[in-house]
Amino acid sequence: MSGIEVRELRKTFGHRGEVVALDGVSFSVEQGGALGLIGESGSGKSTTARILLGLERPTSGEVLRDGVPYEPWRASGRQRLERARSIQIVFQDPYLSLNPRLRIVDAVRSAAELHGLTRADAERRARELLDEVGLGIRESQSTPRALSGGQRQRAAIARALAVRPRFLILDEAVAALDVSVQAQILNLLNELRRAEGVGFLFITHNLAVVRYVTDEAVVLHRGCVVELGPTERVLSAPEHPYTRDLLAAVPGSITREES
Amino acid sequence: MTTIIQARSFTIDLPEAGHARPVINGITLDVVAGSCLGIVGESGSGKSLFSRALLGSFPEDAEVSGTLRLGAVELTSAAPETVRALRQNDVGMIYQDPRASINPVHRIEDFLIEGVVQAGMLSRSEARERAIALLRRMRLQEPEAVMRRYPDELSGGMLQRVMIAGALIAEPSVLLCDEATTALDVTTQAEIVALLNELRVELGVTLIFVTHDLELAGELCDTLCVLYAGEVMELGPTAEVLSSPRHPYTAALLESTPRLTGDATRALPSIPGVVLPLSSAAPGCVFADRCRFVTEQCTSGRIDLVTVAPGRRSRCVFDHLPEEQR
Ligand SMILES: Nc1ncnc2c1ncn2[C@@H]1O[C@H](COP(=O)(O)OP(=O)(O)OP(=O)(O)O)[C@@H](O)[C@H]1O
Ligand SMILES: Nc1ncnc2c1ncn2[C@@H]1O[C@H](COP(=O)(O)OP(=O)(O)OP(=O)(O)O)[C@@H](O)[C@H]1O
Ligand code: SF4
Ligand SMILES: [Mg+2]
Ligand SMILES: [Mg+2]
Repeated sequence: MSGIEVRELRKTFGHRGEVVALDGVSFSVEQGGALGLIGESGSGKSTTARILLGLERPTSGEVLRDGVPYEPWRASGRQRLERARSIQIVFQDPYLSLNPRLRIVDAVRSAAELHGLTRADAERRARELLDEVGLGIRESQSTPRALSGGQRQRAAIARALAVRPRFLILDEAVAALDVSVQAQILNLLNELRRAEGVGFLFITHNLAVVRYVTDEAVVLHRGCVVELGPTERVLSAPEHPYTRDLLAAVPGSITREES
Repeated sequence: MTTIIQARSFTIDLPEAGHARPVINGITLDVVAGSCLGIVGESGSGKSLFSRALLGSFPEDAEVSGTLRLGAVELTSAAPETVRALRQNDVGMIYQDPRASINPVHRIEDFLIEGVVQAGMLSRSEARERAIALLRRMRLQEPEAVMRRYPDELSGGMLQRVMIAGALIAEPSVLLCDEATTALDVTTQAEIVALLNELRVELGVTLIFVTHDLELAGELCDTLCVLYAGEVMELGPTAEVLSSPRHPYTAALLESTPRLTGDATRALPSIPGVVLPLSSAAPGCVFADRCRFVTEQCTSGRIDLVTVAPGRRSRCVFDHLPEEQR
């Protein structure tokens, strides 16, 4: 299979392994597919993402990339660069992933250069991407400190896309955006998927967002997969009580109204 | 009903390439003690700057005008000691980026209790007890163990709940929540919102709740303020604003909200174009270049925020027409 597959991932933390973050998690996303990873706070979503990025090594279990064992946590310098082109992530808290001294446009440009573009092409690509995520000239010329939370989040998305990754993991990366900007970004990501076959792993608490951008959904609960299936099915006819609780807790009536 | 927060033509200008750029432009509003004001609006519209201003904190080089009062304190001209006392005793803030605003080398325990212990408000053991009780109310499992951990060892949502506990420990009378529940799953969020409501009802805490989640604002906030490019577009009782928005920007926001039912394969409606900084926008309505109802009058002169119904204000040329022509 071309794509990403994780098998029986287990991850524990603490001296005696007393914190069990992942307890045998398996799922797969095809290249060009989009999987939603949902679940309670602390259920192991970010840990899964960090393992795929090689920022954490699993206690046991394996990751396959295009059907071949993949151990990004062991990667050497050169392999890291390849990995960066293969999988990119946008974190929940973008402040820490943007270099505080670099202007946004320079951060995005240097990411594009990493992908092998010449400086001039990279500059052009950076401007294009920043425009697509709705950041203007002023924001592009600023350092992260002088931006709002949502502007930083969009800068981080532009930077991740500049590398032209085959896979993009978004860890709560659209949560701090107002709904109109969020819609713009979701449409952009769907377009990238359609036009370039980019695969997505979407970690989000927003169940309505999951509907618009994924075909399959995995529900994690205390480190275990409790439900896995086509997104529409998981949301309209959830089988596991935890998924039902999640759906019942969505506030209000706007999201339940047909638009 | 006592007014606890009062803003009058409150404006923040930031210097840019030699001239001043307003990032908050003439906000005028009142917040009644014990109520909850929701603030929604475009990314970059000034929500965080406004909430930080209520903590007496302004960006470097900012030029501030108008007035912003919290209780007896005029924040735009308050002395540093006054502001410090206010933060220690009266106002708590939950910031938008928890990981960027917490010191990673201190244990959660130190983060939670050091402030109140040093201010002499509580003894160490009292503070510990209160912190643990708060963490438990935040639905954190094994709060004693959480106290011993470092920020990096907590998930995003766990850290966000620690931040909320930290803002509550000194029992503030005003709580500023800047996207305080965005990183939380819906079940945890529901419980935290219930807790915030309890604080309001039982202790009369005033809440300023910045969010992108219109649904959530609908559940928690009495009044909703819709910001765009640093200006108030619409202000009124939340239920009314959401069920019958007056301003085209509010209506567009509602349309962009993703739904749990209906066709998910089509593109989500979003507002075309980007926010123009106030300094480069044409005179008149700041939303004009993106509004589908734009007419010539929209850009010919200043448009004021006017009362359109009891308790409701909106800033749009159509609101200036006589009732029958709207
Ligand atoms: N470095 C670490 N040391 C110890 N425990 C950790 C570490 N990283 C994560 N954990 C624990 O692992 C569990 C899973 O965390 P993870 O960040 O994957 O959750 P999450 O599903 O992303 O939650 P959220 O929605 O709140 O971000 C949590 O209990 C967390 O405390
Ligand atoms: N320290 C700063 N220096 C210069 N400009 C700033 C600074 N902080 C914020 N800004 C600018 O002021 C405007 C308002 O920022 P603010 O953080 O209040 O937005 P926000 O409404 O909270 O947005 P978001 O929803 O994205 O968090 C933005 O255009 C931002 O770029
Ligand atoms: S004033 Fe004109 S441009 Fe502005 S919101 Fe109203 S109709 Fe639209
Ligand atoms: Mg997480
Ligand atoms: Mg903000």
